[in-house]
Amino acid sequence: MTTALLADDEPHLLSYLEEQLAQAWPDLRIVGRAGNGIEALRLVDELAPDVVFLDIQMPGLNGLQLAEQLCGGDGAPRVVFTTAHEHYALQAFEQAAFDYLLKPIRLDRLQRTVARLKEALAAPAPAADPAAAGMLSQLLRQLGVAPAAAPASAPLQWIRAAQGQETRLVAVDEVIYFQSNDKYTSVFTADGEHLIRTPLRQLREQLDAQQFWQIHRGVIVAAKHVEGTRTDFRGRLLVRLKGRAEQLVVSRNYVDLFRQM
Amino acid sequence: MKNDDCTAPATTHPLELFAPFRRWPVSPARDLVYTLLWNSLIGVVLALCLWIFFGAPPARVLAGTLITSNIVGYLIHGMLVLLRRLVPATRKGWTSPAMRACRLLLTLSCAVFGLALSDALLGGHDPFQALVRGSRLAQMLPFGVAIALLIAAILAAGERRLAREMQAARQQEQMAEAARLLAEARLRTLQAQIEPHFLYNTLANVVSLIGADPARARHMLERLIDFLRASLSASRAEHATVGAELDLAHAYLDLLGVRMGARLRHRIEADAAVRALPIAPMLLQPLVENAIMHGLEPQVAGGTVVVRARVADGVLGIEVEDDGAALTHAPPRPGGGVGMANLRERLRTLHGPAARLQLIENPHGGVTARLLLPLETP
Repeated sequence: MTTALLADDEPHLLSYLEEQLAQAWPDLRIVGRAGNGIEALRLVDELAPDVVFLDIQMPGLNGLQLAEQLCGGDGAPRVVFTTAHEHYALQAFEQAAFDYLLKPIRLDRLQRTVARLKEALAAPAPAADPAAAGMLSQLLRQLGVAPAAAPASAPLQWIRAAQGQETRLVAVDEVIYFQSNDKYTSVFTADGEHLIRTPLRQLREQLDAQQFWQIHRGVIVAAKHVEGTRTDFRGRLLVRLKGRAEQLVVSRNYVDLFRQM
Repeated sequence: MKNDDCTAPATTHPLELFAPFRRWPVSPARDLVYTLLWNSLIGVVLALCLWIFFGAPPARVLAGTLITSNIVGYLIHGMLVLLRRLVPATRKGWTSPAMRACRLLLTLSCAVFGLALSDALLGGHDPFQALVRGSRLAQMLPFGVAIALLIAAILAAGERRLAREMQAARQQEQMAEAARLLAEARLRTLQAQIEPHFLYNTLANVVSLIGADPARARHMLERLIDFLRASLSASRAEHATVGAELDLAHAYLDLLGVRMGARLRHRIEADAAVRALPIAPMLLQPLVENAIMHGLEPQVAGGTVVVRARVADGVLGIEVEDDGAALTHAPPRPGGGVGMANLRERLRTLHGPAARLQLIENPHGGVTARLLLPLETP
């Protein structure tokens, strides 16, 4: 008897799929139901179903990541995606998975999938398709989903700043400049100043050098907030900032940065 | 070009006191003609005054007053043109107190010198003789002071008018900017909410419930209608109330509550007085969507979203709190930050520095987005 696993984070959709499958494929034995990707992966390992029906967007692991982990090895289950995604990705889904179903799932469409599945399962098991794995990881990138193991050196996105009892989160995008300040680092945004404990030296390593320029031993400025430079009467180079009164001194070592400007 | 207008010295000709004279574009030649008209006007007024108060025959004094006012007027005109050329062309430099005082003194000297000059011309004296002789100077000084004060007052009034116009233009620009951002936010919200993905998933849930739980299916469909109606009307409205925005958020959370089942719990806390307050539309919704998308959806266990609105110290505070994923662990999404950036930009154009958007990391996980808005006086 063919066994199946269903995975969807929306419980009503899960029971509805089960209901429809009972109609379209009365012989199918549903051995497990998962509400998230991690649980689904565990159940696949444990129950070794012949077919899995995977929702694309699930917490933990999404359907694509899950399929990527499943498609290697012998006896891998046939993957059918269930999705409400726009059709641009569907062709790729089709190539990487056995089939896909658009939500809301129609019974006649499901019956076609069932017929194809029955046919395929009667035939000998296919060799693992290495192209499918590549297709999936490409798809994952297209959809902007980080691969399972995210690179550790990703640039900093959020800065935690203590403000009284609270920990404020400041998006790195909002920062106008950082200024070293004794033991602390001042973070200036349009909303004001925040103090953080991370030393400037350490921050510099975590920031995207294309977007943040060090102009002084104690100052890192966001390139997009730089309006221009001017030279004062003492011959120092100063950076003018968009919409702000203060001007930041460029130390001699970093003057080359602005030579072309 | 626009920038030049803002930094150019804000000066006006005294004749521009009268609206019809503002029609001609500023040029040195125009100013020369204006000065002639202005001087002659003063000359005529002066002659009339002499006639009325002292009974001097107007025909006889008119020539004198015209010559005097033109000499004084053109001296002042020349001095101002020269001064403008010497002083760096920044608005601040031109209207600083030191500059005003300097201008006043120079106007005074021009006036006194001009009076002496015309006195000499009409009476046949030596003009410098008149200046060094105390008695003549004492006679002219009050006139000079009066002229200098008059000119200073008129110039100051003109500068104020220019500053006002510039302010109005800037305000208009800001309003246009706010309208543009609102239009963008509307479009984005409409796209985000009535996005096929959202709509299909919601409808798929309704379909799945029709057989099994018709009452809940009906409830969900009703909430979807509420939500569509609220977002369509919010996307058209100029002004909303906190209550209407909370209702929209509530409908949205209800729909997601059915979809996510036990994974989403939500609560809305606001009293009737706060709900009645006015607020710009579409400020709250992006925060609620973020809490779901970045906070709870990635969490296997789900969590709770609490939306709170209250007034404290004359500030309307709206908080969207979730106990889901921390921000740093959320995978970056393409375009994910655009909504926040747009929201910040809208806040800036709507309320300037008076509005704030803070993100706070909750001690027990999750994020609170806090919107602080100045109370709008209706």
